[in-house]
Amino acid sequence: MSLRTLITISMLLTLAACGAQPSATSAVVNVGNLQISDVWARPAQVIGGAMDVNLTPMATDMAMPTDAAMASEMSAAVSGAYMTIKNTGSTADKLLKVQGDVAASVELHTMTESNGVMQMRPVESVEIPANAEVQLKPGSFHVMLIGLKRELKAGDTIPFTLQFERAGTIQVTATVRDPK
Amino acid sequence: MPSFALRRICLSVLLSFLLVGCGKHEFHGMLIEPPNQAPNFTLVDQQGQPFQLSDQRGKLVVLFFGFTHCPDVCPTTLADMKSVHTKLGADADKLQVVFISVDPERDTPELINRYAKAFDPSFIGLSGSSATLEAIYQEYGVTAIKRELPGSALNYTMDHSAFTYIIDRAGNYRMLFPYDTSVDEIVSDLRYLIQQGA
Repeated sequence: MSLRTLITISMLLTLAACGAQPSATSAVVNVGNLQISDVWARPAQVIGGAMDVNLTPMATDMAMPTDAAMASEMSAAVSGAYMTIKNTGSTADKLLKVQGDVAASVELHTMTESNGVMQMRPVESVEIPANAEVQLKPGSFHVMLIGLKRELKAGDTIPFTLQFERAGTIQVTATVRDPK
Repeated sequence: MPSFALRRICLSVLLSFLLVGCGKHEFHGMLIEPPNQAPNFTLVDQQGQPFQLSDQRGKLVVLFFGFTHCPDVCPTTLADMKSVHTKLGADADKLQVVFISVDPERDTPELINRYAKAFDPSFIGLSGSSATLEAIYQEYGVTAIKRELPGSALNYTMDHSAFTYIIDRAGNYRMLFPYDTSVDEIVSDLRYLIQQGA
């Protein structure tokens, strides 16, 4: 068997292996001029929930649970959802809102860096320029899930409703996975 | 199609280039020269027991700052550190990953420790009083600014610097990694430090 044949076979095997993986993340949703692909969310534990009440301060330096800390037990479970949005049309569109019942609140946020300081801010909308592709990705625009109602494990799927200024409402399904 | 002999020569030339490249380690992170003693601190772990940085002598400490209500930068860093930990293989036990809160108002020691351990059971998450943490931020040059977010379910967020600090086995502050350093780059530098017995 020649080296070239071997290489071809191993490449085919690799391709076959890739093909065998769950294909949910590669699902592409087309509505009008918009194409939405690679919708995914970060795994997250609901670390609040049954809070151990054994926070007896044993050292003077111990942070006392404040009201904010108590409330944080409820909202601490946060995660981010991401996707690629392609606009093949000649008119810009805008992602206005993302809805989903996986979390108490679903918001559009962005992340910027200034002199090594990371700043996260809510945004009103995400502009999808004409004939352009916008990625919601770590370190940039993301859908923030605040107050998760359940644990997000790799392979889970989460339905979301996206609301665009022009394209209207689009249903997508995010797959929970680790960032690539 | 080049002959087999030619290909072999090409391969050995390529290999020798690689070996030359290995002769001197190219650091990806910023090297602190000369290494100086990392400022010690004492925080409280989730059992209410004091945690001192100086107790970690003998381990390479990977230290960074963040908070549990951070959906993007902090889980990215923690997930990266989990990958670093896995890629180091047998050397992973020479490492101690420590995640310190920039949001003591919401992060109890218990909450942040559970958060860190969700990524790897060996990771340690620490919080403490604002005053104690402020002193640590100052010594490590960490920015942590509270920003109110009216209209967001988060109420507020923390703007914070996202550097990763490497403290060697002798307790010296050796390296600093910016946020966008890749897992493989960090692994390469840490491997080198471990080989050097740092």
